[in-house]
Amino acid sequence: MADKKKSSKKSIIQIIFTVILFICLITIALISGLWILGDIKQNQNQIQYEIEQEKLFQKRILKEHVTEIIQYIGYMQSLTKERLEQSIQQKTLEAHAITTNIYQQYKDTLPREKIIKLITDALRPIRFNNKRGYYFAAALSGYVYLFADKPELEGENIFNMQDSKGQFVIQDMVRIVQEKSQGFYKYNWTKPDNGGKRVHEKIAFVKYFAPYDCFIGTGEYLSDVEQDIQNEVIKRIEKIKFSDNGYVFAGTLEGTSLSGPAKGKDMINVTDINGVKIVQELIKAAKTKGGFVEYELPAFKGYIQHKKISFSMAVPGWDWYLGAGLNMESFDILIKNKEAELQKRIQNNTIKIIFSMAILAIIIALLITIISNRLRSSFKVFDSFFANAAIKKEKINTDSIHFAEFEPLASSANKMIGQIIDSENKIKDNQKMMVQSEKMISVGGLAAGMAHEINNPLSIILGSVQLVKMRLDPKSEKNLAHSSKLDMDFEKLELYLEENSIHKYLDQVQSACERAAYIVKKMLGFSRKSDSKKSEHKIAHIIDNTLDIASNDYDLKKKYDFRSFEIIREYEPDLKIFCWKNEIIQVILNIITNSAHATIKKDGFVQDHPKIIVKTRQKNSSCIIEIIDNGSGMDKKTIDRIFEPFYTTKSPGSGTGLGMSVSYFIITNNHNGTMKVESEPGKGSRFIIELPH
Amino acid sequence: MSTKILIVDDEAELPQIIKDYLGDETDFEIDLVFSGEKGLECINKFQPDICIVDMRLPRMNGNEFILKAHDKLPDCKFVIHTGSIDYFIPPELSQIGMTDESIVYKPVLDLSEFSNKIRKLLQL
Repeated sequence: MADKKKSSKKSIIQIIFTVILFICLITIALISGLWILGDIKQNQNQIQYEIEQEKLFQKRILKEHVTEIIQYIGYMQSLTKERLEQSIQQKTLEAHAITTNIYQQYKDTLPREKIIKLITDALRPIRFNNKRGYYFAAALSGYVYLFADKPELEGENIFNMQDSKGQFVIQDMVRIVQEKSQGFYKYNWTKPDNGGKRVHEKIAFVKYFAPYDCFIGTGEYLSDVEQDIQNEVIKRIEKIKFSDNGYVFAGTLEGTSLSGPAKGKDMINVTDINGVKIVQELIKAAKTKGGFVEYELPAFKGYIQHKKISFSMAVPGWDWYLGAGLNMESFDILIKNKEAELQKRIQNNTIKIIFSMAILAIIIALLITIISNRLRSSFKVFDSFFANAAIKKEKINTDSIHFAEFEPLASSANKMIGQIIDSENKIKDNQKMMVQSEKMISVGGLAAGMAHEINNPLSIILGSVQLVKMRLDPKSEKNLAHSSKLDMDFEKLELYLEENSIHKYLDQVQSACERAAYIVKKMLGFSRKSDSKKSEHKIAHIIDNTLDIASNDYDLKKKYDFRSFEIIREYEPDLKIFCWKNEIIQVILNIITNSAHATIKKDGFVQDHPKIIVKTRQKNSSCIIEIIDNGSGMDKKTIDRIFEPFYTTKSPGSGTGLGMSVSYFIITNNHNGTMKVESEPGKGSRFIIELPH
Repeated sequence: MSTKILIVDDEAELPQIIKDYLGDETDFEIDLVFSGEKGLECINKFQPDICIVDMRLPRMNGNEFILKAHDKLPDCKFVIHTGSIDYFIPPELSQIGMTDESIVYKPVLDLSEFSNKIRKLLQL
């Protein structure tokens, strides 16, 4: 039982393309991975950037709101001072007018004291500016006529009175009225409704009243106006809402909340869940030119705990910090949205990348398949070529090969096939020649044996006929003697024989036997065995010799006049061969006779220029003799049979049909040479003899 | 004393024809034997001047006969009658002085070839 082993060896193509495909797929996977990662990173950065931008934007909004309000406060503050100054100036001017009016009314009718009393009584109850405003009047000496807020000071001299900062208030006022008749004056004063404990900045407008050499004035605490503005600001900021959940808040630098649900409460220690002291941080930020604070706003009065960012800034002139805050929850939502967007974008990009890479992979796989199929088909071409090379000998069609590398292989293979075909043709030719040669040899053997056997009976017939003719010869003494001995009339016998053509018949027997003997002699040419050795001869001599024989041979002369032939001799000089000279002469003579026969009458007409060329040349270790004529040539059938014994194209009786076959036999059998003929009907023939040296 | 011819040939007709011819044309004394052995037997008795020998004889061939006959009768000449056109005088026969002149190839077109050859060999 034969083992049927399936080859465990792997196909080169399969391995190569598996590796390529594997590498491609890995590369694609790597590229895709890196691409996706890069994309994620880029998108994350983008989102991060957008968030940062958003944050910056929000922060800017916060800051803008805060600074806007602070600017508003500044504006309000400046406006207040102006308004205050206008108001106190106006009030003072009003009091002055009243005073002047009363004075004018009563100066001539009432005494000075009375008039003063009238005036002071008229001015004393007047209150304005939320009842904070009142009038005062004093002599340039410092004597107080009127002090609505502090009546106990009336009648006193307060010329040397100082404010809380040591300013000589009355003296300063006196100087103003003396110098400019009227004017504003700033100083610090205790507040009337607060028990006079706290000192507040105050502004006063004083006007000189000449008739009594005194001045009237009124003042207003700046802080009182500030309070008004602050209340207004608080009201205003409590109304401000921006960016969905943004709001503005304020507090004192001591930590008291000024707005919102914790208004009025001390929030200084409010701490978020992360331990951030919210208000302290806001104050800290406010004190440093403003800053942001992020914190968790605790749950408070309907608010749930949420992340916040605030910008806090100090209000100049006030002990306030002003802040704007944003609910960061919405920001978180924004971030979440952005993240979702990012997620989606990454997903989309990933899908796109994977999709395009998949297409790429498919294309690569497709290309690999095409290339491998082409490779495989090319290999298949070679495979089937080699499998069938010995049988079919088909050449490779180079069009069926797709790769340049295979072309030299294919052309080598084709060359090989070409050589095989050539060799086979050569072998066939040789075989043909061998068959021919074998045929010749067997014919030779047969002929020799037959000739032997025929020669004896021929000898008997010829001898007998000769004897018969001798013994019937009327001139023979012996015959005459013998006949007379028998008492026979020999002359009558002779007459009888003559009349009955006996002599003629005997002649016919004799000549027929002679012809038979001639054929047999020719046939015995096949079986020449000789002890004599071959000797070296110059081919030129042999041919010249043969041509001499041909032109002098009586029998040939009768048929062909060689002088009418153009005989061209193209010899390679000094070419020598080992041969039996007579046999070679016989061969050349046979061929020349043959050529002469074919040439003298070409196609049935007498040829104008019958020509025979005899060439000799050296070829490798052989010697070539070519005999070329311009005769009628031969058809293929004749060429195939020309060396066969008894094959002749001549009319019966004019040739034995043995010349060419004996020649062939001599060349191939006796001299180990080759003999062939090339011919074309109407163009002539070429006999080629190749003899080894 | 007339010339004596011994024909050694295993066939019936041809030697008889030769004998008859020579008998008709010459005054030679002719004897005919059908084998080499017979030929050797009669050679001392007959003392031929010339033997016409067919080379293809049964048992003892012509070559052998000639050598033996030559031993017995050194002065005897030989004519070789052969059907082989490629027959040449072998060296052993050359040694006893034979040449191609002694050969008569079959078929003999004219029987006078024999008488001529004999006369030439015997220088008659």
